[in-house]
Amino acid sequence: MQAEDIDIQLWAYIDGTCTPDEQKRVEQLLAHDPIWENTYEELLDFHKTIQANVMTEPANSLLTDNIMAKIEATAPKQSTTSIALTWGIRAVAAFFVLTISGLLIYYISTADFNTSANSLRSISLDITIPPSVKNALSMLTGFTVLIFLLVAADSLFRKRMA
Amino acid sequence: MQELQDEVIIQQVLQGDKKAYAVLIGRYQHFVFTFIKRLTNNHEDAEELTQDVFIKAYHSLSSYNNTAKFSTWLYSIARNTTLSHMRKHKITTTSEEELKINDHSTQTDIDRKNKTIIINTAINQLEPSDAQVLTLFYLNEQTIDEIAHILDITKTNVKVKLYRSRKKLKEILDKSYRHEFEEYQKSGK
Repeated sequence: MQAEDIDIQLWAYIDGTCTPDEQKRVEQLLAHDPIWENTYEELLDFHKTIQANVMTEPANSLLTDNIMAKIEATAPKQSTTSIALTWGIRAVAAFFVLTISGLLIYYISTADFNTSANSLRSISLDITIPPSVKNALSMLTGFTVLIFLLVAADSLFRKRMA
Repeated sequence: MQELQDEVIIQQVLQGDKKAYAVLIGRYQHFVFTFIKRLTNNHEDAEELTQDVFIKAYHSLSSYNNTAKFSTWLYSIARNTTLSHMRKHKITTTSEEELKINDHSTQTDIDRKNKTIIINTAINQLEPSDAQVLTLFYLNEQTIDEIAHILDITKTNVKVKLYRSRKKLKEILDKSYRHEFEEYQKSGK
């Protein structure tokens, strides 16, 4: 076997990348063949020497500070515009909540709930939702959807800003 | 005090604690710098690129999944950033011809009688691709699998490259620093 082949197999053995069969074979050769044994000692010594002596090169001591400063500079800060936008969304949401509440109170207070029922049976049959309440309910649904959309937009906007 | 694991720090950063990222920079900056330096052979470029790598990693942190070690992921970014920089600036890796073993080491080199310096000087004399593999394996403690992932090559290729780079390193040490090296081997320093 050529020296290069021995080296390749021994490096695989040292690095722990051989298969169990290869490992067994190398161990047998190491136990009986002085060439393999000497080469192994030499390679293992070289391996340990590199392992113990390879070192990092010193980078600039201000590297961390420089990187953090650049990150701060490039990170999407919450600008004045975005702050204004967030508060704008909140203001619009508050406006709609107040409007809905106001309209509900108004319609309910002006609604005609009188019925002509004289008996329990007729009461159950004659109950109708006054048009003003109907309007209020449909407006409420619309506004709820709108508020939901505003909250979703706000949440998305915040995530993007994070 | 036990050091916080990379994954824990990453979670802290993702939850908005930007300053925690400085811990990761402190932990890996010298490794990333050395890795890049050995590819570019230029100190200033290596520093600039190290900064770029950490900034890129910061902005991509949410895409890091724990399938690989953070360091493996970081060295992949380092390699891609460096290669892209070298392509952009039409920098080629130093040719083998230029890196031929220097038989006439300067007096300063010889005077630096220190095994560590000798080993690292010899690594710096290797072709960048060889220095890169040795650095990843011995310094950055990446496995064959992880190196294959970082360099985007097969495990067999990594083994071949590792074998070749060790052989070349030994040739450099034998030829240029044998005397100093043997002295240190004998003294067991």
